[in-house]
Amino acid sequence: MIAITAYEALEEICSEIRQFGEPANPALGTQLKNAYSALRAGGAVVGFYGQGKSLLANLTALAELLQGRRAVVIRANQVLAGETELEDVSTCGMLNDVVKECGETYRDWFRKVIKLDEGGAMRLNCREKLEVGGERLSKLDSIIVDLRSRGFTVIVDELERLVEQPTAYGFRDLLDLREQFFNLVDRRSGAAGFAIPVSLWATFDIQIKSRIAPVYFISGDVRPEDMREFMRRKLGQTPREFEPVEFRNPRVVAAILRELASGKSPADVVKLRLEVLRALADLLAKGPKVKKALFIALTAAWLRQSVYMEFDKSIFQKATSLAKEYLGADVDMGVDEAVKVLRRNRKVRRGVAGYYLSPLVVHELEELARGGGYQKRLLALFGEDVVQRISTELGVV
Amino acid sequence: MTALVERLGTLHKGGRGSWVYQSPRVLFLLLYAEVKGLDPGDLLQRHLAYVKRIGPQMAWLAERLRWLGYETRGGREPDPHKSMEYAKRLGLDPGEVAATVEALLKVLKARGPEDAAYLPPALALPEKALLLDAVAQSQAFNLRGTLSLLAKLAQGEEVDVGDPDSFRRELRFRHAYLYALHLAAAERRPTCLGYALALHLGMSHPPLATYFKLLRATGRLRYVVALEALALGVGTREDLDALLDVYEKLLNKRGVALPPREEIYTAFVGMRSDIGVGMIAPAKPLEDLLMLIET
Repeated sequence: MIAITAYEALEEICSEIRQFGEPANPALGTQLKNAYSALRAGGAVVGFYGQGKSLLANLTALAELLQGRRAVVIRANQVLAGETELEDVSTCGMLNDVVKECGETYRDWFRKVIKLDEGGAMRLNCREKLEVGGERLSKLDSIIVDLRSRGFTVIVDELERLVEQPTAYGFRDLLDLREQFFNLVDRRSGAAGFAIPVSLWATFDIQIKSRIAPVYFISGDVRPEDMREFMRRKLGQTPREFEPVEFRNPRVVAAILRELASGKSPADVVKLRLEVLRALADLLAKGPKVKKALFIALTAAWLRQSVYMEFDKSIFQKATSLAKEYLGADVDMGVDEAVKVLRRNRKVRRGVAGYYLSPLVVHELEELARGGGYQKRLLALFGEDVVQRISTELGVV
Repeated sequence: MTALVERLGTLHKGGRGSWVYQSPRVLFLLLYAEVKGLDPGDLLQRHLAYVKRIGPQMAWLAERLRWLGYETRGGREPDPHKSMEYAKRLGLDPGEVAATVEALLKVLKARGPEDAAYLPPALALPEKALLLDAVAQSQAFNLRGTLSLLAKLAQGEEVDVGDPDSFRRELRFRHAYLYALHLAAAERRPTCLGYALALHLGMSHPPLATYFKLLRATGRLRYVVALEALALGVGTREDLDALLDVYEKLLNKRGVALPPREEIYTAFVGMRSDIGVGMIAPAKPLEDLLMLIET
């Protein structure tokens, strides 16, 4: 099984630790070390959707519990919805389960990553009633105060829900939410750790950011090598097809692992990507030569998992052979010729250490990700799920 | 043979509490306070309190505080009233410093001038340009002489240092400034960029234009921007664009230009969020970025 929710991930990571001595994703150790120190100090972890904020929040709470200290991850959306029992507003039950089922396994791994105090594992009473007062974020404030007074380390999660639908939770708009959040961290600086989605972080001014410090940005520690190792451990070996891909997002790897688990072969997975990329190239270029060359360039961008980064001729080479292998001789084109055609037709520009896709091409891809441009035509060909996935794998902003 | 300190000129006399001026960020903040009529002592105190809280998770900045001039052994209570003296010795125009800091604060959505206290210990690119322009022309700083001295020391060459105390003081001060400009490595030698700039200075090439040309040609410029974006807490494409707009405007005033946006974007990877904000992060892991910039 490939994990999606934090709960499933915690179960799965447990079995991975038993198998490999650490989680299958080797980046998780560094991430936990950094997240743990930030969250415990009342700071924050900031990350994209799907980068694992909730997982890091819960691992931090788990590490505290295993050292005999009370800790819990609060679901902000549940608090605002009016729930008052610890069970309902937090991951209390889940943490208790994990401590019971897997506490000692986690302890073994935590010891390698963070400095762990000795102590017996703590079990929480999830039926505790909490003091909740006020409106909107004041509710959250009162719960933080209450839990702190009971000796809890508190981490607040699920702010994403509030950001997505601020009015549904009683805020005038996103800025109203931001101002209330500012009041909260201003009054309770350091009282709770926060898992903050970048979408909320983006609205913050320098003063709010400084109030929340220390901050840990999750994105700084994900290396393609780690992602390759992640895949290798999950599958026993990295399929040949994925060797040249520089995965940067654990969520992307997990989604591909899910596709493979559903019975698709690595070759099928890659072929589908290449078909979408070819359709894209056909839409974005005129003339058979330019189409072929652009297809190779887009494949190179997919190999890097980013339409913004530079690619040198060696990646072009990999892209060319990949394209040829899966889609046959009609896409065959030499690297030098492809580069020449692309430059002449302003599809790539020369960068510092290679080439990058020209602003026009990138703009088209961005429009596509925003639902404009050629999206309708691609959707008709491949369906929404596939188009969405490819645009994530291309790292389009 | 004249002692090196005499040849370099005296910058940092080491009066009581003046250690804090080893940090270019602190100097910029205090100058900003003077120009804007804020209480420099108060601003400094809030800044130092904030810097303490950036904590171990921003280890790359925390680890570098020493080299950025923040820490000293046995330093006394910092004296916040000497910024004008230092500006004069370094050839910095306080008005320009204040205007640059203000422009940055605006793009970081500051609530008021006091928010300058929350600027990160590392300088932003337009501030670096301002500082480089000043120190390259400051006789007291003697940029080329300082870089040559660091090169000599790195080669293990014997140098006549004169009074060892004042030598240490001067070297520490200059090293922090060069480090902030990516011209010196932590271990007190010039970076490749530092060596290259020294060569050009020897040929009397214009310092700032050359600095930018070298930053770009060595592939550093975009990664410097990526690192600054991280330090400034810029996490979205929209914020990055706003920041780069300000960078561009301030740099153009000094006669230098940023490379095309797309070239800078190559240092970032991104992801679109469900609510339509374009999120970005440095394309290379932090360690790799730092290694590249500090080599």
